[in-house]
This record gives sequence, C-alpha cells and structure tokens, in this order.
Amino acid sequence: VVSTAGSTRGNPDLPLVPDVQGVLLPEVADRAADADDPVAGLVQRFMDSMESPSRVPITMFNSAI
Amino acid sequence: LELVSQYVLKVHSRCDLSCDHCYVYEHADQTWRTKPRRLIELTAGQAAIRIAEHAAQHRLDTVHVVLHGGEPLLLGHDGLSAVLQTLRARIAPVTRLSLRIQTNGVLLDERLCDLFAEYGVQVGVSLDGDQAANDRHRRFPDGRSSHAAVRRGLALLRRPAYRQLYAGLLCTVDVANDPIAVYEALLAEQPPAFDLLLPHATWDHPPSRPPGAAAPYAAWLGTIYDRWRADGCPVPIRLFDSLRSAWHGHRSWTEAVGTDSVDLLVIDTDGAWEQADSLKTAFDGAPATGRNVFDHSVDQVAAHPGVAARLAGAGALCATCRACPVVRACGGGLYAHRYKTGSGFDNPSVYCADLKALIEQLTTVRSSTRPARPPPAASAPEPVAGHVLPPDAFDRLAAGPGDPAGMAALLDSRWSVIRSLVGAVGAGIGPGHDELGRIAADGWALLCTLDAEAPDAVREVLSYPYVQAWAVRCLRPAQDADPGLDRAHLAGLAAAAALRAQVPVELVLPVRAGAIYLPSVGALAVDTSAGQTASVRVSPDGFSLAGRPGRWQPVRQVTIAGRPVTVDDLDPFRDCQVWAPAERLPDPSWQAWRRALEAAAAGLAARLPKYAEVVAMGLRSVLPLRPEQGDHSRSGTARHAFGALAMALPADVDTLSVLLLHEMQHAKLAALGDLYDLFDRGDGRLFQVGWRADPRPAEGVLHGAYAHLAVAEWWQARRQDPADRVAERTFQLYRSWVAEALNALLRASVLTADGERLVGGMGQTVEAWSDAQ
Repeated sequence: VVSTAGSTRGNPDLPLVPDVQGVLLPEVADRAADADDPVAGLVQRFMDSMESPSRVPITMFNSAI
Repeated sequence: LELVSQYVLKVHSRCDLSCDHCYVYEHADQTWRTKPRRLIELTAGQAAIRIAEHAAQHRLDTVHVVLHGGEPLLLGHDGLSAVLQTLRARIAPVTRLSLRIQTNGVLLDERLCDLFAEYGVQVGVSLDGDQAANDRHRRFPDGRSSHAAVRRGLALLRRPAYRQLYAGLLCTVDVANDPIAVYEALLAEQPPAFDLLLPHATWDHPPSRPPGAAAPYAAWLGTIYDRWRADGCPVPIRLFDSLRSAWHGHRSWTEAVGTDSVDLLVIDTDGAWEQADSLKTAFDGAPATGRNVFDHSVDQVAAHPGVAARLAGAGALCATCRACPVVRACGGGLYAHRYKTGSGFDNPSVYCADLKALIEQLTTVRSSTRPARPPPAASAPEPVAGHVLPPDAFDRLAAGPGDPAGMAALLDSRWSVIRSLVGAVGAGIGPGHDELGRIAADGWALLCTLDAEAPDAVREVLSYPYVQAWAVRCLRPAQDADPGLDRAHLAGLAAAAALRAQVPVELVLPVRAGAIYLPSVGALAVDTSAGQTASVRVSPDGFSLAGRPGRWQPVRQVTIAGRPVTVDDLDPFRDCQVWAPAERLPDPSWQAWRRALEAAAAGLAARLPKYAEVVAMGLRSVLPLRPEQGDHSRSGTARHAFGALAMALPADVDTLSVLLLHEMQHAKLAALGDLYDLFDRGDGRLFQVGWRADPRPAEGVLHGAYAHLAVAEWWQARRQDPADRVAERTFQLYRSWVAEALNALLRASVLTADGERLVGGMGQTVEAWSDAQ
C-alpha cells in the first residue's frame, strides 16, 4: 500500500524544486514574494520542514559509530 | 490615537537655487513669504521637546527627523550644529533618533560632512539627472547651472570617510528629458538608492503632457524600469521597489504610493505644525493645521482632520480608488495629487492613468519571464521548469552511493533551493532606513549585479553551506537574533563574490563580534571602538580596509580529490548544528585536522571509490565541533547547510572516513527529500530502530537506514581482509539494522511511491550482500 496522504504538493503537476538557476536574483525575489509562485512554495515548504514535529531534528547525527 | 514617528524640520525657509518646479516657492502655497528665514534655537528646542514627549508617552522605538528647507544648508555649520545638538539632547535619551538631511548639495563641504558624521546624519541630495535634465529646472537665481556644484557635493559623499552618510538621490521626473540619460547619470553618482518623483500637480493644475500621450509618465518611468531590470537592478529605486512591494501586499517606502498610513508631520521655521509639504501644491495654506509646537502637543496635532486622514491610510481613499484592482500598489497616489477644487482630496490621483499603466508594466514584465500559472480549465497545462534527476540516477542513489551525474543534478537542485532562499531574503530588503538597512540594500544590489555579470562567483559564494543557514535565520529569526545585522550580511556575501570575480567595489560591511566576514574567504578582526561598520575596498589584487587596522584570518582549506574543502572555524552562521562549533583552531589543531582529513579521504577512496567520488563532489566544508571530554565520534549534518559536515576530530583516520561517508548520506537524502515526497509527512508514528534506544519518526528511520547502508558498505569492504577481526561482526550489525528499518517502513505503509522506490533500491543492495556471504 502506498500512502500519498500528507503530500506537500498543492498541485502534483508543479515541481517541488522549480529551476531558477538561470533566473536573475531580482526575479527570484519577486517570485519568492508571490505566494502563488512555486518558488514561494518551495521556500515555505523548506522553512516548514525546519520545524515540523513529524520530521527529524534539523541536525541528524550519529552518536553510536 | 495614531502615532507619529517621522518629522520634517524646516531649518531654513529660503533657498540658494531657484528651481522653477519647486513646490515651496512656485506652487499654490505662498506662506513661505511670511515665515522666519531661520529656525531659531528656542523653536528648535520646543520642537525637540514635543517630539521627545510623544516618543516617550507612546514608547516609540525610533523617531526620524529630516532637516529640510528651503535649503537646510543655508543655516550654516554652526546653526546646524546647534539644532543637531538640541535634537540629540532632548530626543536621544527617550528613543532611538534617526537623522537625515535633504539638500540640493550645492553648499556641501568637508566641514559639514564631518558634522553629519559626528551626529550620524544621512544626506539625501536632489538631482534631476544629466546636465541637460538638471539644467532644465535646477538653476541658480541668475540662471547659472547648478549641476557641477551638486556633483562636487556628491563626490564628497562618495569618499570612503563619508560614504556611510550618503542616503541617496531624489530626481523629479520631466518627460521632456531622456529617461535613459537620466538613469545613467543618477547611477554614475553611485548612490546607495534613488527615487523618481512625479512632479507635483493636481486636477486643477494637471501635469505637462505631450499632445496625444495618454500616460507619458508611465512610458518614461517604464523605459527606466526596463533598463533597470535588464541591468539586474543595480541600485534600489524606491518608486519601483515600493510599487512592487505594495503589489505583493508588503509595505511601501514612500508616501507617494501604497496604502500605508503616513505618520509624518512638518515643523516650519516659526514652529507651526504642518501637514505633508507636498500639499503646498494644492492651494494656498493647504498644509496648515493652525497648531504650533509652543501650544500644542503631537497628540493634539495628530487629531487634526487632515493629519488624521493621512494616518488613516487606505481609509482616506475615494470610492473610485477603493474599487480599483491596482489600488494596493498605488494607494491612490500621493495625497496632494488628488486635489480638485470642489471635491478636495476625494479623487483619484491626477496621475491615475500613468500609475495604472506603470503598475501593469511592472507586473506584466514579471509574468512574461516566469513559469506559467496553472492554466484555465480545458486548456492543456504548461509545464513549469523544475529539477528532476537523470534516468537511473534516482535508482543509483537508492542503491547507496549514486553516481556523478546524479550528484551533479542534486547539486543543481540545491542551487535552485539556495537561490530561492536568498531571493526570499532579498524580497524583504527595502531601501534601508538605518545604517544596517542601507548596508543590506547595498549588498543586495551588488549581489544582483554580480549575479548577472559573474554568475560563477556568485554560485561559489551563495552555495557555501552556511549561507543557507544564514538565509533560514533571516527568514525565521531566532529569539536572540539581530535581524538587521543578519540581513546586513548580504554585503559580506556580495564582497566575497566580488573578490572571487575580481570586480573592484567599495562597500560598507557590518562588524559582528569584532570582525567583518567574507563567507568562504575569511574574517578580518577590527577595532570596534571605531564603529560597528567598516568600509572595505575589493580590487583584483585583494581586499583592504579603509581607515583602520585589521587582522586577517583566512578560512583554511584542505584539498580532497582535487577540490578545495574548507575547515571553517570562522563563519558567523556555522553554528547550525545541535553541538557548538569550535572556535578558531590553534595551528597544531588545524594541522591535525588537515592531516586527518587528507588521510581519511584517501582511505575512503581506496575502500569505496564510488562513494568517495560523490563525497568529494558534495563536500564544501568541514565544521570542527568544540571538543568534549571522552567523545571523539560526534558528527552532524544540518538540513540547511548542505555541503557542510560537522564533526569532532576522531581518534583515528578510519573513523573519520566513516563519519564523512555517513554524514554525506544524510546530506544527499536531505536534498533528495526536497526533490521528491518520500514519506507521509502527516504520519506521526514512531518506530523502533536498532541504532538508537529511542523510537524514531519515519524520516529518522529513512535517514538512519540510508546512512548505515553506506557504513555497512565500509565494513563489507573491510571484511574482505580475513585478518580484520571486527569487520564481519560490525558489518552484520549494520546490515541487520538497515534491513530491519527498511522492513519497518514498508510494513507501516508510510512511504509514498517515490519513497518505496528508494527503499526498494536500498533493499536490493542489502540483498546483494546477503548473496555474497
């Protein structure tokens, strides 16, 4: 059984990481400020992932080697 | 009761220029004729008392006072000195005092600059562009050009000693001027920011428009906007920044646009409280309130209907504006520009058509270069450009090491993540209302320029791991953070990129904990008694500090597989793990790190060459942790510092090899997890795992399994040596941990399809080991 619940994709057709390598920074800034843009979605998701209680702490460590 | 934090203090009511577009002398209001020429000490003192009283009563964080005129420099050095002393003595004890002066720059000299430096007065200068444009209006009473005199003043402000005083330029638009010539002339003065002002006009006295032109001001401004964007927005332009910011629902930085309330009062040379100066264009006496600093407090004048209307922001808009789809950007335009005899200010701006057209251009240009929105129903969806891994790269990563093509794709996707995070920080950078704000704005502007001109250098700096940690800290400040200081780090990033690109620049950097930082390059310890900022010069030859000594500490590097890897004990944002980072390593410790890392990388390459290849591709920095007694196997990877592996120096080289291997697995999986949904984030169940006593969430299980898969590979390689007595036992332990974790994830139905594919690939590696036994 494959669970898809909890997917962070509002629209599965949109990529999770939009390609902004060739987009100049002012344009990236505009898009990050536009809540409807996938860039803003990525930033929001990334920031949320820093705090989500269902995720591991931001530092993943090995203390038992 | 509304609060007032901005004051325009008229210190001189006359001017040494005779600009024919000046609203003070040439428009409807003529009260200047009745005002005292100079602000006397008694009036200045009473104004300061009123400002301080209001700030104290309402516990205002900051009060802004702009010295204005006429021409404020006509008050002379001693007069200005007395006013500044009075303001500081009365206001500074109760709130933070931000001082600015708006001048035509003609009389600016070193003595005045020294005075402004002493009091921290920011200097804004009026300049209408190139000489032809400036001469069109801005002349001396005898008709002589003021252009050369103003440029002499601006040259002073560009000197390193005074650069921090330079607030920017104000340019009044005239559509008869060549917009590109104006833009280039303003840029040539190297201002930290500039603004383009629509000439004051009303419905009674509309602006000059060429025959047949519907929106000539939009066309003129739009020409500059296009050029500015094509240039990579090299300097903040307040009008454009404000329109774009307001359009996105954020604040405006000018009362000319946006729906923010305008908490500003003017104090004239006779002590009269007045409303915004621009109202002088509406009708004679328009700014008057009938109140003065001797008899009335700020609270009393804030209750005046005209002042209250401005404080109400969007509430003061006419019905036409309130129903307009672009009002959130233009805010109905400047209040004075709405005036019409009969209906007063209850109208749209006389520049309504221009503002609408300009806003449309600002938003349309953006839309044309961005990925398409989800299309309307029944039309085929247009794909949005996004990152995907090459064919088979996902499966090779799932098997454990991955391959160079997959790692390169992963690094490209991280570059987009980093650009998005840095862009989000940049989106919050305004023109800067204080020194740190201006440093951040300058840094952002330079970074944008370099991004267009030297993209490789910008990538090198911004993809440095602790830049991500910095961006996250800016976007979600910690309780102990200093957000202004953090944002000013943009200037350090820009300086580091300029240094790598060998682009000569001069800029001001913030001093943090006694040093200025160029991420990935080094830190310069400075004497903090000389201030919390430092002017630096970057040239193709290197990097130098203006005006004071400093002690340079480079970020140290080792070479792994031909690539530089820093051992960073300097970066101010490196403290992003659960463990504290080590301070600057003494030389013997650094040498021990260097030797151990080189040997560990070589050992990894000998035993697991495929893993070693991708570790070398992804590793940018090793972060030494602060040593603790009796524990030499601590290591960590932060989600928001991709490319950095934190660790305490272990006792032996083999353990260091395993730490590198293990932690890079976490980094790879974190990057993969940003590209693909791998598990159900809403599932809060915890699972028992072999490697820890405490139950772990699904992501923890996945991360542990992926890291231990690689460690098992290490022991699998070691157990080929029959003399290695611990290898077989340790390999079996790790293999069982991984197998049990994968089974637990599969049994729990917590994985998405991509997650199942990942776990399936890891399972195949485990199965292959079983077969080999």
